[in-house]
Amino acid sequence: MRNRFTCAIILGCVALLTPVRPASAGGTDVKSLWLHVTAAPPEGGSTATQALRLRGADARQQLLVTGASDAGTPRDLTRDVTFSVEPATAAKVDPTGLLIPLADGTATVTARHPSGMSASLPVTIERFGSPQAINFVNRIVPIFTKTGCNGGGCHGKSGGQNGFRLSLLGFEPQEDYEHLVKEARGRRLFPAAPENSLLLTKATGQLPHGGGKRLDPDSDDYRLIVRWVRQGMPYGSANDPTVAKIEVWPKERILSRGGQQQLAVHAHYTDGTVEDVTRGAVYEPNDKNMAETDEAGRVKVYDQPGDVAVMVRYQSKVGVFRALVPLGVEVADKDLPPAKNFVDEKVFAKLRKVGMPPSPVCDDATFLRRVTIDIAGRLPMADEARLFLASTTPDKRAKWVDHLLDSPDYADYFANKWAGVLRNKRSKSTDAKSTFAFHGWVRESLLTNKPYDQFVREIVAASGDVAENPPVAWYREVKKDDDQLEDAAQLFLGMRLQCAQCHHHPFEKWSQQDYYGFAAFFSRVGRKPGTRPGEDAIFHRRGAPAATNPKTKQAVKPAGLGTAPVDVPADVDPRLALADWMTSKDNPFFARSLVNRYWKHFFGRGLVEPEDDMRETNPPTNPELLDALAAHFTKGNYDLKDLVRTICNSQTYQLAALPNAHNAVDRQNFSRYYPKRLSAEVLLDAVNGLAGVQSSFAGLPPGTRAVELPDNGFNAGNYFLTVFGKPEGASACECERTNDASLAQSLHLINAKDIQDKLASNEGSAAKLVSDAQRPEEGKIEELYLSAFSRKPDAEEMAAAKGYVEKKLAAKPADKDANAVKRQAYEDIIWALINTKEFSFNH
Amino acid sequence: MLRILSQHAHWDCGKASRRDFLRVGALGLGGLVLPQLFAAKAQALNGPAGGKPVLKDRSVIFLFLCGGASQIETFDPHMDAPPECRSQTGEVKTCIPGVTFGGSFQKLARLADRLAVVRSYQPGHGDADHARAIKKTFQLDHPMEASIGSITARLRGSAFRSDGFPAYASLVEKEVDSQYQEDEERMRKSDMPGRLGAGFAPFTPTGGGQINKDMTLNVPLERLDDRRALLQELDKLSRQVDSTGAMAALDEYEQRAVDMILGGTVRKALDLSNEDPRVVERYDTSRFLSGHLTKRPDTLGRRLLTARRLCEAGAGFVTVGMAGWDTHGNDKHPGVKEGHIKLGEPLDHAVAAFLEDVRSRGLEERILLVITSEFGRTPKVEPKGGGRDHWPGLCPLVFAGGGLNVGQVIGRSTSKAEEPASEPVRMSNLLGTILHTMFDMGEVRVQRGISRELLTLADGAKPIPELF
Repeated sequence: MRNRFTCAIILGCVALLTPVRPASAGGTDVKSLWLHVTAAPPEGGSTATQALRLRGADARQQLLVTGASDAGTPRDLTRDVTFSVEPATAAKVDPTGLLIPLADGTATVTARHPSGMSASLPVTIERFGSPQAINFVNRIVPIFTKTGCNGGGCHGKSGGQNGFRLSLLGFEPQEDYEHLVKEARGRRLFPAAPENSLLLTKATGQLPHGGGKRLDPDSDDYRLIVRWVRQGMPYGSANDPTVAKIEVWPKERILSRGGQQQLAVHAHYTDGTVEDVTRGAVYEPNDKNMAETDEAGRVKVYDQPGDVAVMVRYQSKVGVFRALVPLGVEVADKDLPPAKNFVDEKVFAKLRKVGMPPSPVCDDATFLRRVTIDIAGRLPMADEARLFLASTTPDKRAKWVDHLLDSPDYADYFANKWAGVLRNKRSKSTDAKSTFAFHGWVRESLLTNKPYDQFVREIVAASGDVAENPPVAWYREVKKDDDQLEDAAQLFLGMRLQCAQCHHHPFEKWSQQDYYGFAAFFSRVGRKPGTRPGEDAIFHRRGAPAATNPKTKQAVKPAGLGTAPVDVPADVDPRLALADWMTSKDNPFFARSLVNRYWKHFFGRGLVEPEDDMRETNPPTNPELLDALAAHFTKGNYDLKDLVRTICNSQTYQLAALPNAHNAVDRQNFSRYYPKRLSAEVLLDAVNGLAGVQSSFAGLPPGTRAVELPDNGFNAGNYFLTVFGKPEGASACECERTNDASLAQSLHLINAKDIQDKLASNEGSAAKLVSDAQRPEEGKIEELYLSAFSRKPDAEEMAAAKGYVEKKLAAKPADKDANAVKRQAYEDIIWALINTKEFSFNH
Repeated sequence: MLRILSQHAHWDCGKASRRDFLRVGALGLGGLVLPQLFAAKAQALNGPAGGKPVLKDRSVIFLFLCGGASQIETFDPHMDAPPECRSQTGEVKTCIPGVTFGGSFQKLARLADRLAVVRSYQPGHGDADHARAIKKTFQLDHPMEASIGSITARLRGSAFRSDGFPAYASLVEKEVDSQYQEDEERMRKSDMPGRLGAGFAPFTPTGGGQINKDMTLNVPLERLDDRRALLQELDKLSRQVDSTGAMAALDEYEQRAVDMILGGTVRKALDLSNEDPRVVERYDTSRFLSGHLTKRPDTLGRRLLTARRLCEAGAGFVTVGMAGWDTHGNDKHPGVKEGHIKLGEPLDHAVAAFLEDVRSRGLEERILLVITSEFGRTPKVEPKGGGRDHWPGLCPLVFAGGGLNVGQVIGRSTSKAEEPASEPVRMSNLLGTILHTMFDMGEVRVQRGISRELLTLADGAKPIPELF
């Protein structure tokens, strides 16, 4: 317990609602203590509004205890106090702070802290003795969600499990009632002897149950179900209040590393009543590496500093608790490089808040290699490195960024990225005309820096023949309107709507109505045979656009997510209306999802992770930065090159990867660069470049680099690319590309004949270097290092490499040609360079 | 020697250990770090809906009877059918009352309580073209052209486990008989990843997969040693820069890759001299001669034992092929009776040895054995030649182990074994049974990055209900 307090000395850290304060020296003593159930007084609540009223024997209330030292931040002490109730016959409090009524009347609940501080609240208990009819929807269905019975992995999936079906996460309680009470000839529930109901005997593990023991017979939930069955399984009346929303308390806190926080969750009903549902809610952190939750609603964070959000779910409502876990090191101005733009300002502000000093700015060689890979998908050439390192131009880094953006390499690399998620997939050889055309169009759009909103409009609203209008090719792979809308949402709005097709989205607010409103935009897409055999031409079919919601059987007009339905005249392509909505300046998703995607491209981790799963319950780690980037992008007319410039010219992007004494644990605050592996195409080109050879791709001109490949059609013929994860273009998710290491990859780099052939090629680097008799060995080794790492070798490396060549020569048998031995030595040096982490990682 | 830098184990529930320098020998402590790292990564990849493991601790051995085994002479003899239809090898009583197998399956008959025999499996194709038929069965007649094994590799994320051992292997024997060589070729060609990509191809100890080629040292050993020593000196990028463990993982993989090249865990698993000779003896089928024109000692026993060893060492899916089951009864092919004795007996022997072996080792639940063929044979035997031709109506299908409900017959066939007489079991049910054994399909459904195509196929594959 002491450790928790000492850890909680947060220097320079802020209470989220108050301005930055100087370091607070104390913290081990508690100077203020509050007992509350909603907002704590230092966070906007007041003791006056904390009236506790428990109605009925089933009512429960999660108590929260918050303490603070002088000028210290509020912290959770719910588990550190002793509770007492006066009179003790009225109610009791369990060790987790749950208030349980025992009899009607009034009482006082007191929380006493070992430091001597205490706080009290009055509580009124009513209707203890009068049993209420248990409402199925409000009382019983949430139990199935809490215990996991109606999850998508079990009874909640379509088809259910072992003949017993429940609606996913309780979204359809009427169906659940049917399945429970009426199906299976009423075997599941047994009013005459409720404990013998199949539902309970299986759930408690008394009878063999594939899902194991889910319910404890000595629990409130079990007893409630038993009473409900005994009451004759009432459903409840149509007039009974239902949950309108839930609130989570506290909403956000600063937690120390290894710290914890008890949450309280309140359900607000349609009749105005409020009830505590803390034990009935489901809790899930959005980063399992940072925190865990338990069934009682207690959040425990691990050692990693940063932001973590806990999604809270009750019935079909969601809420979120946000925790900031500071590292707590002081970050003075001298610890930060001078901010170059608003990206730096926002990132550095976060670093101050978290208390995490950044690594220094990286050196020129590192910057040159890093940015060339990230923008142009290639390594800098030896000469480029020499020139850059020697240049004394003060803004040479910014100039290099401009140079890369103006080069066709940028268009190649980003066309490769976009073509993958636009599903530019070749399934049969005749597809090549279309896939090549689509790729070419994407590349051209990037080369000419077409504004992103126009780019998306041209894809989403594409009509005609692929031959004349290449973006029609997007419709080759997304044939049905649900594929179209799901991809459009995922790619351009950062949202995964898939789940909402069949039921309310489990983690977000989108309903089936929203899904089909979105689908309606694609309801007039017509297909007919195009000019090329096997290819469709897309056209707009006249008619009022509408999609049918299968639940309500009603037609739904097109509606952007979260907006009112629009009336689109029959002769206007509704996809144009969709493009209008998506690209409008106040669309909350369009710009945010793109800037987040590009942030991830450069930093390896989005501000929202995963990048296509942006929702209220998965908040960004730096909301101010995301908003600022989106605003900048929108105001700048969706200029992609400008976005790249903004990112790459920031100091944040140019921080070194090597951690300082504090920030090795950083995974989401960008206090240093997070190294990432080169993708398959970039790596192949890099290997070829260093070895001085080229790969050949059937049908393409010699010298075509792997990043230039227009589609997946070359995958099958190139083991290197597939084993290093070049995707097939079968998914709208960039995660189809697996950047994970695998044994097969290591095997290949270490021992493939293909690689050995490259190294030993008569036209390759090893051969060329050795045949150059003029150049000294040092120069040759330096050339290799500049090509591989954009830097010169240090004294040790030079000695190791030179020594290797000399050793081989010295050991050579008399009958062997010295040059042949030297050449092999150079092959080995290049082999070693290729197999270093410095080579295969962007760092 | 390996130098591994381990980071804060912050996914170790808060037990933060400071950076440790570990000097490990080959395959030492580093191996312990990896599964945790990858487990945490996998958890992170699963997203909010995940968190439960996708992979169950189960392996599958897919024993394929290539050529079209007769549904009658194997496990559905129908001795009450007319003489020209009933089993030409007679029948044998099994330990399940009322159930008989074909006459050449004496040993399995005694172990019938460990088998689930499906008599209503209808693949639905009886192509004259074997290549096409075998491909259809392996690849479920799906345009993705990915074999069942490749699908399991894709769903688990890799054809290799995180510790470097192959997760997907194919033990198709090199044949000498010209007939059998055709079967061999077809099985190899069908056990392919198709559109899933070469990364999900099986590891084939015999035969030229790319992985095999990469495993075969192609420079002198001394040169590889020299190279690695040089690499040690030049590979100086501090592992501290990477907090995800990816670099440490690569170091580990390098070590394991070299081990594989120099003959490590995989070679050990494949080398039967590491096995108890009595066990090898029990499996051995070399006294049976395999081949139609050119004969050689049968190797099914040894291969089934190898498959068990691979599964024990961590493989998830192993294909074992057995050629020669095409019993047309003409100059190129044996008749039904001859064929099912010649091949049935070694099959009987090997599988019986396998069942006893996995039970005594406690592996019975962990390993699912699937025995099937590409189609069955005609109900009526040709009088000339004593053969049966291709028949799409029914096909043998047997399951053992894997924690499934065995000791039963599932489904019935019509009186002459022409068609299912109960709800037909289809190829997608076979896939479903395998997938549900290996994976928590509920978690697979919410995985990211898997193509819609594959998810639809996997999600739509319903397991045979009687088995679970």
